Amino acid sequence: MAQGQGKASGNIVVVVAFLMGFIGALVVGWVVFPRVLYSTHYQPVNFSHLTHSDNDCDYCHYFRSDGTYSGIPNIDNCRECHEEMLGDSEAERILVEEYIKQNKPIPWLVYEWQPDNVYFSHVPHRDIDCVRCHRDVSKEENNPVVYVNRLTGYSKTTMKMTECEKCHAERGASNACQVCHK
Amino acid sequence: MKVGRRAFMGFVAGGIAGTLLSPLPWKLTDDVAIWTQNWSWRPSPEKGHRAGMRTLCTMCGAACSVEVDLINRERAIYVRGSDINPLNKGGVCALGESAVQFVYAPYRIQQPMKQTKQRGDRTGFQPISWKDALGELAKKLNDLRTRGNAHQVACLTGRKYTTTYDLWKQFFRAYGSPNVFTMPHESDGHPAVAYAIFGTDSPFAFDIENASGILSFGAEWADGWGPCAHLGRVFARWLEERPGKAPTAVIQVSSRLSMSATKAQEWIAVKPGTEAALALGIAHIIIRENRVFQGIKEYEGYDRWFNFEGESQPGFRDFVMKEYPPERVAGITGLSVSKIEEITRWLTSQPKPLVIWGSGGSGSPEFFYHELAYVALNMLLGNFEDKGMCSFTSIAPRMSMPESYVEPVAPRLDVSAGTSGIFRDMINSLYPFLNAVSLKKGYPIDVLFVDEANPLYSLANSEMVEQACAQVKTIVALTSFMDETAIQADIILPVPVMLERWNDVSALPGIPFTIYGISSPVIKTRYNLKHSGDIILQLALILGNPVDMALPWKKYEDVLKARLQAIADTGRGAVSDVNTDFALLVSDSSIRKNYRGSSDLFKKLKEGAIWYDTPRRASEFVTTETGRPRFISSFLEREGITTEKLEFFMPHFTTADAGKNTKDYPLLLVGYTVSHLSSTTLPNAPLMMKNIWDFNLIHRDGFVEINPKTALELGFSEGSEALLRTSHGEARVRVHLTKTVPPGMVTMVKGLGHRAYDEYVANRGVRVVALTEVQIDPVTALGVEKGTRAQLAHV
Repeated sequence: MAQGQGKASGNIVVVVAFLMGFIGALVVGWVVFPRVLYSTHYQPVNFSHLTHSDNDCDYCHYFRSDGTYSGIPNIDNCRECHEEMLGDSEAERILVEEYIKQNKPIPWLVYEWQPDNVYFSHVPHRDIDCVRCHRDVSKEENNPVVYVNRLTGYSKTTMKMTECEKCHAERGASNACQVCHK
Repeated sequence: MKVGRRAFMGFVAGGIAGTLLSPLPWKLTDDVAIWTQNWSWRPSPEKGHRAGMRTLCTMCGAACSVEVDLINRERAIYVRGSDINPLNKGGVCALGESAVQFVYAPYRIQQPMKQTKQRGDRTGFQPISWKDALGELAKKLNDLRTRGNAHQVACLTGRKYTTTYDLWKQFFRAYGSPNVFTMPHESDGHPAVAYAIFGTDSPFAFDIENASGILSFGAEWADGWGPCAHLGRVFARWLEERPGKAPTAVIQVSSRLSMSATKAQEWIAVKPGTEAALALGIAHIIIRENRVFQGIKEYEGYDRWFNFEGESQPGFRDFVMKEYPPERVAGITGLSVSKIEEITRWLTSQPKPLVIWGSGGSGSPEFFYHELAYVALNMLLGNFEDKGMCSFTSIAPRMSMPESYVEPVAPRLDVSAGTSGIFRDMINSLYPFLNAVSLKKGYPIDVLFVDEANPLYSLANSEMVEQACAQVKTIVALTSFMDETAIQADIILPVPVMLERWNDVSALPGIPFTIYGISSPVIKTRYNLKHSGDIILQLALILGNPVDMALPWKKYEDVLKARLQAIADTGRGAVSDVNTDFALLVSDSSIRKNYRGSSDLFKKLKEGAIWYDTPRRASEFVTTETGRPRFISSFLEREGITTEKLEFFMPHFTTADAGKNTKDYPLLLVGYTVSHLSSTTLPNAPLMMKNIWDFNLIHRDGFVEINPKTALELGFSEGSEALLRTSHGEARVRVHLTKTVPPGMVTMVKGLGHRAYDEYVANRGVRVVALTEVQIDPVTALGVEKGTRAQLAHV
């Protein structure tokens, strides 16, 4: 009898130990690991897309004559309106005093920077909605935090290859290696 | 509760299960794979803010405006043409597009160097400070000057139409040496011809944008005759058709089906080197059919003229009518009489006909009498009158320089040695100069400055050039790269490359508009370098009076500002923008000045625009006694040419002397330039090496091009190996069969076969000029590359 009780007690201990290991690993894997893996970065200047919603998107984001895309507008774009302060926000003060007046480019952090071995051009994708790949910024007051993978150096929101392949397959575009990897 | 082995195993099993159900192992595996992309030794473009800056491209002196993309305003990554310059209007050539690759090239020289071993030993170069390098040079120059041997210092530069060249001239004037030369150019013979006929020494210029029909005698306009990107844009315009403007027709006369010939409406295949005979045959028919410009009779020497003895002599009309009937010309050129007549009628039926000429792709000047023939044809068409299609190249206004002239002890070396032409030092007769040095004629050359030129690669008659360099006591190479000439130098003074430095373009030979542009640095100089202009100014400062008085500027940038001040002081011209169109600009156009002063001009030109002014009328250049062009030059008679043989005063056809030994060397070897390869100072950048056809170069093997008939006779097939021999040497080549080359001719592209730079440039293909020779024109003493007798032997 005592031997049977001892065996049952031992099984409980094993189950509890298993559950502790299981839950602990889940916590580490789902909660701790991402916090350790990604470093947190903030944009040098907060840019409110909502405040600028009176302008067309292509006022700042446009195709240049050689087919390259102004994903990150030049400081000269900002200067067109913000040569001097228009309002009294801290973000605008930083923009005008620290960048425009010093003719210094703003070191924007990129949410979608693709690896070097990927050749991506916006031109052949111009008929696809921006939000198919990018977040919807139309109502965005504050720029989101940029999470950078400590191991890879890429942003957390950098699109993975499967997304490219899926969309190419859906639209009948080639998925041959050399299409993106020149 | 005691935790035993089983509980521990349970904990581990739970941990493993939990881990497998979390993203940790999967994400980590994926990230490790991506992490391998970021190993430090893996080449990766610099990340950062991308922004563009405009400047003027001065890689080849064609004055194209470009936009340079920079990362973080430090790293240049891309060059594209800018549309604020009407010359290139967004276009750019292969060399300009490769500008970034030259900045980061592994063969750049990073500090001044001195040869400490035998000349040519690459291991002998040791770093030296700028102070020591310039100090040592100044001491040599000072010693020579003290001993009365200042004339024994010479300079050879790669660029003529820059302020740096003007500084060299001024430096040498004040120092006391007349020996300043530039590398050969197709227009080198123009001053002689222009002086003989018009009394000016300016190169000819052509209104190619407004001509309705162009007859081109070997002017390879698609392959380097004139500014490359500009002519690409002009070609597009020739093809345009709109109300009031028919497409411009071009007839290309050449022995080889060149790129220009393929783009022309018609290719007239003549026997090699006989283009000038055709020009004279056409002149004959124009006169015979009275299709001449009606004012031609006022030109001295068209009808009868009088020599110094007062004897009446036959003029150009009688000479051409007698010597160049179409039947004779047909025999020389291989064309039919009816074809020559057809070309003539086409030319004279054009409302705005134009005759242009060139070297057939070799890049060298033409024979004096042949150039006279092309000019005479334009004169018959009335092209040197005020509404005509021909004029002269204007150079942008210069600043006044202090008059500090020291009379040289002796005239220029080729003049002293008696190897110059009758125009003496008016002409850039480089080959006679080098010949005199190599044969120790005249006087020795103690110091030779070679500024951004690579004569040991790009000049023909290699043995003579090498021998000449061996006779020079000290060679100073001002260059950005360890090229063939730098390797043979005693002192190397490294200069910045295009994107790192100030530079300017003050004229474009062949273009009638006055232009001026400056190239400003868009990135910081990478190494311990000095601009050639700054080197000249600092040497002048060390040498002291009168050289320093002649060059009163602290730095090269100040010199450019002084020139802009001189331009602004004229109050003329305007700064280009996207709407500027040179086709609308004629000599009586009024231009609205759109700059305030020199500072404003400096600011605008710094951003890549160019300053321009209306073309000057041809008549503004003419300084003959009658004020009109002439067919007979009293200058020639004054220089001892007698009228016993009338043809010495007249445009006439001379057979190129390629060598008499046609038995051993039955073929005619011709090297030609192409626009996608560099055959002069700069090497081919990686981008350019990628663009080479596989019938020009495969791996390390260069190709010769021969006609299938020639191949059949000699027993060669496509790709077979052969030995190309001339009296100058031999090279192992492969054979490419093509009907673009006439039977009996063998052609090779120029720009390959370097012995310097890196493994991707060196020993790739054959340096064709190592096998070819130049013929010295008897009048100008310029080196003319027409062809060299050669043979192809089986390996």
